[in-house]
Amino acid sequence: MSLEKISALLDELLKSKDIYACMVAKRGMEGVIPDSSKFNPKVMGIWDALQKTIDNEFITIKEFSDYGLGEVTFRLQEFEVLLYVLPRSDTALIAITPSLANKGLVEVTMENARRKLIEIIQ
Amino acid sequence: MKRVKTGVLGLDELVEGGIPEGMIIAVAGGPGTGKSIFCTQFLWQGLKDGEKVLYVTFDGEEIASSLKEQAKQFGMDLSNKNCRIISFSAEEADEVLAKIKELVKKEKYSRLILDSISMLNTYQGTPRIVAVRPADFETAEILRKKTRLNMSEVREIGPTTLVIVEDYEGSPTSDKVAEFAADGVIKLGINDAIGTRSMRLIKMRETKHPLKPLNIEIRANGIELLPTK
Repeated sequence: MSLEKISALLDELLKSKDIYACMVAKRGMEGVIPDSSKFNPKVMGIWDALQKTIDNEFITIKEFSDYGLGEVTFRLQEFEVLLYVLPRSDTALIAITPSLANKGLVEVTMENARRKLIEIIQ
Repeated sequence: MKRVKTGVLGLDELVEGGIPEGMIIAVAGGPGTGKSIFCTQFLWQGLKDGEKVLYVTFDGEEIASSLKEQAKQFGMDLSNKNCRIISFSAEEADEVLAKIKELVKKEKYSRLILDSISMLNTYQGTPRIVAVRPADFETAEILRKKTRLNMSEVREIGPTTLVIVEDYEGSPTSDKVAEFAADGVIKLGINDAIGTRSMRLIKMRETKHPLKPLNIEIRANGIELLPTK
């Protein structure tokens, strides 16, 4: 079942020390979100702001994913938020990382996870 | 406080045993998110508990039989003398709430479904909107006022009520007013890109409840909450 596989994929991502929180969701946070107890407590302090800013990015994603929009990244306080869009959809794999994380490593981890996610949902 | 079981597997434990009795809960979501199934489960739970239940719709006469059919698919039998499904026409919309109030008083229904507040708003005429500011003649403003009036009338009816709200991207703000006016809001969602469904408890008066989206599935017996790991 895709939900279980997606949950397992997210749990795997959370093992990476630079991924504080992650989820697969669309606007309104509809999707698969691991239990917040699994997230790094540092992000919980600004969770509300994170949710609102992420939600706002989904307006752009919905509008432009058909044109091939692949990634959206933004910085909020000391965090970096990465949204890896699932091709031609309104949904993205989202990770919240510290802004000083090893960016190259995080990007490779995220791209691999996106590919696995596409396999799961296909 | 007495609580009313929803009949949705896994939900009651998250809301201190059920919905507070007599409250109005908005069940919001776009098409295909499971609003009708959720409400049917609520009715079925009432019937199992020996209560009298009422489903009011504006979707036409045929909805009664299709609702019963759908319920049967999930193992729920709405062909019970304690269950009544009434369909009102658009022309009757202005008197609907008064009629329901009378019916509930007479027949002592303890659970009510109003399907949907969005349809009721659309069908009602506007003569009882008495405000005369120019802005009041704008449709959206009138709709919002109607929603507020309707919700306060629903509150007077009495039983624990689920009000279905059509909530989707681009839905009129009047529908959001229903969510503000309700005592609780349960939002159902669907993510078709990854094939998952979710439920969010946006608010529930006098109840501690989780805020994060909960994953749900529609299974053989209706909506079930999936355990969080």
